Amino acid sequence: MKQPPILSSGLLASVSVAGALCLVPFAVANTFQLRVVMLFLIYALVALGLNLLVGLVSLVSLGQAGLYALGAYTVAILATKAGAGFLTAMLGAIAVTAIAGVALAYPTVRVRGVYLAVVTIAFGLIVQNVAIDWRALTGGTLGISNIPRINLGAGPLSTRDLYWLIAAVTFAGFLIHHNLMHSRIGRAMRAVAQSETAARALGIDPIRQRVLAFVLSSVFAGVAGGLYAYLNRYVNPDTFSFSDSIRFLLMVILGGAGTSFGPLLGAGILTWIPNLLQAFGKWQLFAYGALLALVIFFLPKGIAGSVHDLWMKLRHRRSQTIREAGSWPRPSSEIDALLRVEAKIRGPVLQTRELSIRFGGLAAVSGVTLDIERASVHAIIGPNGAGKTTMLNALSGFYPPTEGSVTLLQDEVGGRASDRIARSGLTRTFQNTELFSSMTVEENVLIGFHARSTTGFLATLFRAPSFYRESRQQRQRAALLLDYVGLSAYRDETAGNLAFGHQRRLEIARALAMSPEILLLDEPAAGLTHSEIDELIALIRDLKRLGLTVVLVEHHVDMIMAVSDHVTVLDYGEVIASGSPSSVRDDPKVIEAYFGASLGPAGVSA
Amino acid sequence: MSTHGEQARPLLRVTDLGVAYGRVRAVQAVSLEVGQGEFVAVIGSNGAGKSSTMKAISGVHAPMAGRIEFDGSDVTGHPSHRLVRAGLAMVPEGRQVFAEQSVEDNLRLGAFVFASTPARVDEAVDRSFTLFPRLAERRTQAAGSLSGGEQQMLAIARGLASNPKLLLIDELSLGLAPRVLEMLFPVLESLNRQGLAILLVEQLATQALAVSHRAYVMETGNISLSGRSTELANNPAVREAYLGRS
Repeated sequence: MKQPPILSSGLLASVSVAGALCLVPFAVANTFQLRVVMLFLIYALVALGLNLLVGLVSLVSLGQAGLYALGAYTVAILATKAGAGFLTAMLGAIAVTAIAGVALAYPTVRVRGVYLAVVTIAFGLIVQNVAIDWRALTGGTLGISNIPRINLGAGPLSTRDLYWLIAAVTFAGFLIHHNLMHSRIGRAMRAVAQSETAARALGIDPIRQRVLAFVLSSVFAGVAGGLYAYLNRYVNPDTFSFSDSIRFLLMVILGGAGTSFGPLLGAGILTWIPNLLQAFGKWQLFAYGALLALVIFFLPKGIAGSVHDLWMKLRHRRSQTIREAGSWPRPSSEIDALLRVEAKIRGPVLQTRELSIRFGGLAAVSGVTLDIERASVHAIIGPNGAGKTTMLNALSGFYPPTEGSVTLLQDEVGGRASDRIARSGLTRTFQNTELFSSMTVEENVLIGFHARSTTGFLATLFRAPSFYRESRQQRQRAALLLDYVGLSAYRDETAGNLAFGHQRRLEIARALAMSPEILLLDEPAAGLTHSEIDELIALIRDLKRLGLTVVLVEHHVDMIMAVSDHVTVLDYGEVIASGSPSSVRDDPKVIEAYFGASLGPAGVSA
Repeated sequence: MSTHGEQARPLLRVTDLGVAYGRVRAVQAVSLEVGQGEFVAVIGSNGAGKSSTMKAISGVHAPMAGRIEFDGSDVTGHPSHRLVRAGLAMVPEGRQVFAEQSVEDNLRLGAFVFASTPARVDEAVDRSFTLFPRLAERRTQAAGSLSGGEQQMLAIARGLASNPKLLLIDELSLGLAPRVLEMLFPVLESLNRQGLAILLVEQLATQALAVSHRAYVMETGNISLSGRSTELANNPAVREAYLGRS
């Protein structure tokens, strides 16, 4: 097996960035130029942090200058009024901005997109106004001057030494940014941005991911602000205006959101371009605006993103092929070991008692009592609109019960969040397949492993041996699962490019990566041909053999009859029949409500 | 099959169509025809390229090769909204109703091509309600709150509202209860008898072959078989792969 590309690309990136940083002091002509480079590095740090937000969890912040200001003022105040040293002052800046990050992440529980942008704009304005008006602390519009030089013990740092310090911090920021992006945490963040529902079903708590991204992005801005205070030795409110927030966002967008190098490129361009454009005289601002508009128009994914896309396109131009999915399921002893579920409790693994779900006055499910036995296949059928999907949503925690209880593995879970239920061993697929469609087939399966991963946050950021061990193991398991569902040939394809039926297989493989005890399948046979349905039946039987419990919402009558141990029929949210497949099939009430008069169970397919 | 003269000119003629998504070549070289007033089905496994063919014909995804002629003119690569004006409407896979807008608004949007003549829009809406009285009952309800079967009715009615010559339907049966299908297939047959040409992509091959005149079988990006639906239904290879053994 080839080396994971994470390692080689990461190494290449870090060596090239470090090399460039080392050359700078020898390339610049004077201290002024060196200061401009330092300013660029500080901007780059803010942009890297903002990229974690924009590029990973797809949240837009227009208040980054506010966080940058918090860092700068915290350092300025601690250094001038409390006589704090460099490390103490920086730790203060980190603490303050981390708290602000949590506070800023809180609104994302309710608002996204434009609304969140407005919240962050407000935050930035508040910070700037506090800096202007709280004169006793901030010095008002005059700001704080005489910030001491950094002294690490051997006397005040020279400009050149300060450069090395700032370069080292920004380089560390770049590595953390890169490592986070290419890890399970970065993957989980991108997953949350693409489909919160699917992420939850895989045991990922979206709020946690967003808070983490916000806190990291705030701390990056705070550290950058602190360094700025030491570089400039003077801070005042003018440096932290709304237009600075816009500029930070532009750096990310222009460079390429979601890429490792984008923020560096964007920060570089926006630091130097204004100087280069001075030749345009009074047309300078116009030229600046026009240039930005043109770049974004022709390179919609930013410079790094568009270059990457172009490169992929050229590389794959000749490798366009028809790929064939293999037959499935393909059982193997490794798959058995991965998926087998041992009996942990006696009695039903999933139960509901008098479960009701009401939306306003409408009762979608009313008074449903179910007992689902371990290693059985339990089908829920009924006319469109009978409440089957609502039932699945209630079992998997997407809807809290209005009344009644849901018991999973003898644990009352009614009202528990869906991602917690998923981590307790119950996961699901969706009627309209919820894949992370812009990620690859393999990445989709890898996200399924996220909730069960053991490598911690720091081990991931600093690439401890356990990180590589677990990554390798998960990639091997993902390969097993893809082989199991016959999609090995599509491993590196973008999930959204797969045919509908293959997307279903992938969704099942991804759910299985959670090693669930109970799997809920919402209309898995919809859009499949007969031979494919036969394969699906074989898969369900195989899962049952391995001890998994399968709950199935389905319309395909032949399939229900072939695989189910127990069938529950819903109509208008109530159970109208429940029992063995054959007893349900012959029930006059079921024929009336569901099968239709002329279409016997056989009529659907024959 | 007669292929001579102006009158026998097919309504839709697709020649050597190729479709790709990124690195995946979904459709190799597909050629098919739909005559005036004809009901044609396309069946085949997942990944065979059926939906991609439909997306290329309806202008949703531009083809990378081949030629599409509709009603005598070359429409290769034309965007969907122009095709709708030319008389080619689509009922997309997964229905895609405007979930937050009312049933009636969905239908009015379907009749958008008549926007300059409000009377024709009203007429189109009324026609839909006559065709599916169930939709009339739910006129003011948000489309997203309808059941799957009702949404499919709405998607069909919305497609018909532009008064097309050819209706493309991608996966009619997806996620629908047997009883709903029992009602929808006859509706398509009756629309066809009134002169509407239909091109139906369907996984439930039995039903598709029962209602259509002719059919194409797709496999890995190519047409592997074609012919009269009754003949295909009796073809052992088709029976084995797509009709189940029962």
